[in-house]
Amino acid sequence: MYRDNDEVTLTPTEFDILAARHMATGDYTHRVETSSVDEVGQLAAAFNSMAEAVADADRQQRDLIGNVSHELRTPIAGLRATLENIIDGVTEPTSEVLTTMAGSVGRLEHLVSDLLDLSRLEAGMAPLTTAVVNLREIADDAVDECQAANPTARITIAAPDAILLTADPGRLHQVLSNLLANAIAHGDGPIAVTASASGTQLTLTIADHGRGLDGDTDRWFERFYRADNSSTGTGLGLAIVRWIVDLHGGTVRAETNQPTGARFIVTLPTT
Amino acid sequence: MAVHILVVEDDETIAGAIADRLRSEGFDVTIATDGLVALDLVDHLKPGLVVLDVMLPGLDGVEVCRRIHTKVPVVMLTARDDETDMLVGLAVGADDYITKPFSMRELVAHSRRPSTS
Repeated sequence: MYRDNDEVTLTPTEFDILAARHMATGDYTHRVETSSVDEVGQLAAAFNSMAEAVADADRQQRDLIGNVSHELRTPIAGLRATLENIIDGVTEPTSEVLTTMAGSVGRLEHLVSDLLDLSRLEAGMAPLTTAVVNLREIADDAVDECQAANPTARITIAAPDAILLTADPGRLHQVLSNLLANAIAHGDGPIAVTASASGTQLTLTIADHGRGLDGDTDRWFERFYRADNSSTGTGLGLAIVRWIVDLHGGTVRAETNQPTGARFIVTLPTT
Repeated sequence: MAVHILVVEDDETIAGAIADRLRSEGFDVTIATDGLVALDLVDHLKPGLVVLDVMLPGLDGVEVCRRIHTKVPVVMLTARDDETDMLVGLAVGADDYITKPFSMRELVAHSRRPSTS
């Protein structure tokens, strides 16, 4: 005999039906208690494992929706507040005010774009278009773009003129852009980009002198993880980096940069 | 004498818009963008009301509220509308709770509670 959470004694068949009904309604809390080691007992254990996995996925999904909701509402709140002030004659629609509003729209646009991109990557719907590319050229382009968008940033690059690998050039550019944007967002010190190849592997490092890392560095690659609540990005850039690097068969990790700041190290196979 | 309202919000656009509106309604307004700074300002400025965001650098709004709610009325301002978040805010002493995006007229109405008018 088997018992569900409500301590009702059930036959195995009755339990299966009851548990399935609870699962079908989105209630993943029901478990079966059994000391039996027969096939039905094994089935109960497998059911419990599945219920835990589904509950965990459901929790992550709810967290994601909560985070997306928060990230969307903040710029919308700024836009609504400013618009109401203009409508009620509290604020003049000056060029400066409108530019700030345009910035909020841009932030929303960027967030939606990143969300869709990450969704496609996670669903395997963003196939890589690979070619033999020169990492140095891609890094130079990404640094130039970042420098143009952030004129006060101090970015140096040290890498051989030719580091060839087989990769998706657009996605590789995105990895560099996101890591540079992350470095800019977390400090105003110099940023050093270095790249080197050894055998069939190349290593790309982006080191900043910002506020550095705390706690579990793996968490930095989670969607919407905020190290200090003051980040200005979409909260998705590093998650996208990890997906792109994974798709290329590489690795990415973060560690403390001495004396301050963080260092992101990407390794990629050259072929 | 105008009531002094401390707006604690790290998003400059939102903080600026709230400050503009509250000033137009006759309040004195000071903005803090950091939770720890807000604690100091509550002691020094002795505001009549604190409009407090939840996600803040330095010290989050829930902890700020926990430390100041016996000194000053607090209206929590947050992008989270989850019931748990609302209950946490009220449990740590918030007098009111507004969810972003909010109406400026609604915010003004909350700011004109008997304790601040």
